[in-house]
Amino acid sequence: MKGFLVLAQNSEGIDYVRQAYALALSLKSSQSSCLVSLVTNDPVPEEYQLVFDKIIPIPGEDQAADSVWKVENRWKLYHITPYDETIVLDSDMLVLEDFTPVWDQLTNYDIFFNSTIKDFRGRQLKDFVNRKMFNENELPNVYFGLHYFKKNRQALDFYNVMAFVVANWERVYFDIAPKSKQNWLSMDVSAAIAAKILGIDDRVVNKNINWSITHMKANIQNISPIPSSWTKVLDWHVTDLGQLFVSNIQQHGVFHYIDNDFLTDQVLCSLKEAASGR
Amino acid sequence: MIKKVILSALLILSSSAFARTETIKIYSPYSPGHSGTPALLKIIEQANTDQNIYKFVVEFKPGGNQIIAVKSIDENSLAIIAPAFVENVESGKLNERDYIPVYAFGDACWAVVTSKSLTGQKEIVVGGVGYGNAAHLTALALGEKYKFNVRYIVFRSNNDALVNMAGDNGVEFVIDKYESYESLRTKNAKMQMVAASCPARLPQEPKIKTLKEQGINAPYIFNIIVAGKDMSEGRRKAIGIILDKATLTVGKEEIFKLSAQRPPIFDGVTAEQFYSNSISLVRNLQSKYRKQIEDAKTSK
Repeated sequence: MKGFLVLAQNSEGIDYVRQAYALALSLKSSQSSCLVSLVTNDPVPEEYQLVFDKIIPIPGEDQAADSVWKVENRWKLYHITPYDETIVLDSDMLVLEDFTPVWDQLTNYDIFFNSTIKDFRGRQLKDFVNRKMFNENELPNVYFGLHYFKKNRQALDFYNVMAFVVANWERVYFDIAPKSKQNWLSMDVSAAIAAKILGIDDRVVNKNINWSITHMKANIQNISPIPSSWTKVLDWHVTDLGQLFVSNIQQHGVFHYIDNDFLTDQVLCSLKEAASGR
Repeated sequence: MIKKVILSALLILSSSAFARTETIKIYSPYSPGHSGTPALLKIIEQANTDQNIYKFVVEFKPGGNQIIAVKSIDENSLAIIAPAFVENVESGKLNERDYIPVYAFGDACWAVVTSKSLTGQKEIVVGGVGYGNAAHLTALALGEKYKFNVRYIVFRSNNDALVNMAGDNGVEFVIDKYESYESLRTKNAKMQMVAASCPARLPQEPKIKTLKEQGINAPYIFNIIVAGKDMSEGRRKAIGIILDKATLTVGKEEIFKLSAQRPPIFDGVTAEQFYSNSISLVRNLQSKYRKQIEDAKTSK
């Protein structure tokens, strides 16, 4: 059984459960068939519950209770997925294309990470700004926010190492990725280091598998001057068919909007409309 | 909708969910009865409790002047090296470039015990367990400072040498665990502790200075866990972190109580620094006292 899994933990400023709901709506309208489960300890409105196959509590102690970015529990996903094959998505994403061909390609992997990104114009990017640490420490260029795993020994090994890296991230980053050292916990860096510890860094990425993310970090959109958020300078809208346009350019694949201001009531309403039309 | 919420077994990540990835063997060049073993086993036990990536297992491979253990290393195993490692490198039996430090287990904080004043002596009989090892080098360094010749006799253990001294049977200088000295000191009124063998004073005898404080640049009885060059850098460093963390959890007092060992991590010294410092010191002293070491071997 294959399915999508998203973890959402609301913070003071952001309703991540609402984001997960929008993501699930986009999946319902873009996939030929799909199961989506939500992992959360936060209340889920009844309307939202309808789109999820399962709602799963975060197991064990909440390791993200005191954190801003709420990433500390993500290593637990392997242990709670209800699926044999899982694609994990960040909650602040929309999926705009059918993943059926991708699923077929992923069956050759135990665990696989997206490693390529594009800007909203569809241009492939090499992110030297935000990925300096990866380049300098020869880490695989993984994006944890979009990855796949099978329920098997290899993926379990990986997630066990992830648990260790997350629990000891300061020392681990210092020892294993000391150049341009990052002084906050990042799931991308942690996943890359876990792959390095296991010696599988060249087996978890393949830039030829085409599910690249449109990554809406403002400083890689080639907008001058660089705004604090792309939502400050670009327009966007979602059609009732679930098509997303940014500056009148249709977006494809996975759209990682990052800024919660993107998810207006209007966008959510259009996503609902598109999902209900399926 | 409530029925959709999974409430039961998923709430708890049971230990069975965390199958351990792989076994990492640590080859010890010592016998199970070696003084450093209890602390090592305690740290390994803690490391195995702390995480689910590796299961560490200690396997004893004594013999061959520690070469058997070190030569057993492969990509899934580690070995403990001691000052004898340097001797084996110098003699060409081991290649230093084949081994990379992962974790510094530490140096033994032992008592330097004599039954004779170190000053004004022509010769002092030293008991130890190997030629050119830390105890032998320390005796030679003291001999140079106080101008006495070292006559070196090899025993099966330091404790055997100490028992000999306690019985006044010829041995006049030994470095051994403080507890061994304490248990035998009443048998020979001449026996006295004159220095602590590591960079910190022994808690049992805080007034007695270390060798370093007495101006003796002596090597410590170090134990360093090394990997072979086939082990990946990522795995090697992860193991180092796991063992360091376990060491801090067990705590220096417990480790000291178990084996009188003093892991350098408590002083903020990394395995690489400790390895580099220890190896170079032993190498320099072995080179400096090469003739005396060879003479001791031939006159046994």
